[in-house]
Amino acid sequence: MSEEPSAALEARGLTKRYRDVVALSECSFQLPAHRIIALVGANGAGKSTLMSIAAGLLPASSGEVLAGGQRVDPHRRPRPGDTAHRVAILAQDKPLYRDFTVADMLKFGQHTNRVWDQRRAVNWLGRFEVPLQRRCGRLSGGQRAQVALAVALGSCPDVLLLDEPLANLDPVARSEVTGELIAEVADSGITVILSTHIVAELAGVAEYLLLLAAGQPVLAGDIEELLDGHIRLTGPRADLPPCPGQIVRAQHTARQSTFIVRLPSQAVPSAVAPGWSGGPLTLEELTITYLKTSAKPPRALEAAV
Amino acid sequence: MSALSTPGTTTPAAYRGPGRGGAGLTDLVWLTWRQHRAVIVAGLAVAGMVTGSMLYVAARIATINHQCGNTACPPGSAQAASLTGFFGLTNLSIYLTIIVMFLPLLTGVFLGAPLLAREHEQRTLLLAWSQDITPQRWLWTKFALLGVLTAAAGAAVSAAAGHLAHMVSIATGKSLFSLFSGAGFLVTGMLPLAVQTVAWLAVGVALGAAYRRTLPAIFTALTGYIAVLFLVVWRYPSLMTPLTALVPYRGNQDFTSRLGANILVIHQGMDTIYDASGHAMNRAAVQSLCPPANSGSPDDQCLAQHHFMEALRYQPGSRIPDFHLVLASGYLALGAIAVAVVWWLVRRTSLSAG
Repeated sequence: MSEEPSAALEARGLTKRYRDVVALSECSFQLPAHRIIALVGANGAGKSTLMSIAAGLLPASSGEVLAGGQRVDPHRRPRPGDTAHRVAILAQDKPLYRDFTVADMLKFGQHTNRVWDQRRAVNWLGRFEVPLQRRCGRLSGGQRAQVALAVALGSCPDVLLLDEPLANLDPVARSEVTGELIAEVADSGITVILSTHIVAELAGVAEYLLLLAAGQPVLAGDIEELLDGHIRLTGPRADLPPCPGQIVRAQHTARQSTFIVRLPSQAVPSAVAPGWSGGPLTLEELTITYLKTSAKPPRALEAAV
Repeated sequence: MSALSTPGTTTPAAYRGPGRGGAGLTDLVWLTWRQHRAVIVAGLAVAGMVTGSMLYVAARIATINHQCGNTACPPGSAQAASLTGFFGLTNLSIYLTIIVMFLPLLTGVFLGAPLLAREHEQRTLLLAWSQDITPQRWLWTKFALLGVLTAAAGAAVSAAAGHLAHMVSIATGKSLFSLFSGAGFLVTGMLPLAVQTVAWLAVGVALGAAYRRTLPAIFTALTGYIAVLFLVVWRYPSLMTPLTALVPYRGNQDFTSRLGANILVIHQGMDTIYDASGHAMNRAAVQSLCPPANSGSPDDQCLAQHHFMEALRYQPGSRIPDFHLVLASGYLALGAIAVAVVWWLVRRTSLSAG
């Protein structure tokens, strides 16, 4: 009996070109299973393209995506009796058949998927009080998002791709949806990959981060480890920070220098050098730092001080 | 769901709910019905009304024909009056036949064109094609179901149109009405109309896939249908080499006894005049016997009195089934091209979630 692959999604040299525009360029990464993964990047970074390829909706120009160790192929689907990974996607605009009722949409999910959990889908809608007999064309933006999510969850995917899932929701609904998603991952063990360019939405939700910039991954890892592994150092004007690590960003004024440093693995920041103050970064600060500096490769430091 | 199957791979730890799944043929039947039921019901209602009307008119004509002793009703009789006139049964039959002639267009416009175009417009292909059914299976199962339905409806309507044309032919006299000419020929025979309906369904789907917009697809289908109709009407008389017969010049135009019923006259004229024994005569000889009248043309009465003959090029009524077969083959080719285009376009279709 073979073992379950540790990576829910893996890209190998993935490239996607739209004529002269390169949306993804030689992307290679692995995303762990059974986690909520944040796919972050500026507009046009390639998030939707990556998700579309992973869902089998869009062919790659070169390279491949593997879900659960199996190559994603737009022209194949699991057959009855297969135990293959299944990927569901919730597109950014949450498309639904306007003349279908919400109940019809659940029937649609049931009739077009090998595996379907009606109770799970109905429960999801019940939590958000979405009326089952209302036509989708008459639902609010938030309700449409909930119906689309219910169809995606009802199909019991192994990997659920959510493209800007919280965009149409009010702050209360955002909090509720993220809470429910966390519960779903805990209960069912699915892998949720959600893309966003609003990092504040991810606080307390995502466990793993994949940061895309200009079609390439610039940062990937467990979010807690990433935050622990970065430090902001502020002190007197200097060319180098007072600790070993990789300078992610350096800012200088006439009298003061500020460094964002990625600490070497296993390194525990000890006391900061005299005259210097150090502090942790928030997730938003970390992603913005990397996005701003993504065009400039960080300098490596062997040692300092 | 994307494709990710390899036998022997263990199930990931993802949760499998207790509910039953689908993705079988009956599931696609449900989906097709749910998505297109309004157009299907409306289309069947129109086809049903037209068929019912044709059968009713045919029954009325049969009654009148029976009253006239199963032959053409004498001019001036009450029965003949009910057959003729603007709202007479004969004209009513023609109007109904013309409606039938455009039913394949309605199929292409209302069922074919929106099949993919509306999904593109509303971006619901992202939803449909990301489930456990492949895009090709989703499309071709729906197309096959709708194709069988429209072909059956087309065949039924065509059968009724054939019955009506036959009754009109009997009631008006076989010498005056030919099942080989006009809309009556195009909509009868069952097979041509059935194939034509499916072909225009396919053309509509192909145009919808190409434009990804419903209105341009509908407009192009409409234009294309009229163009093909003109082409068919123009070319079908010469699909097979016509026969030639010599007939009395401007004499009795009822060729039924000599050439059989339902002939399609392609050309009848005095390019060459023949004598009673069938020999071609030169112009001078004809003019010596029948000097030109004031108009410069030979005197018709004189030509008739001398039993001159003229050539008639025609298609015999016995060829109607062959012509229907050729016509159906043409529409089959049109449908096959459209299906190939759809297949190619769908293979090339890329969707982006963003």
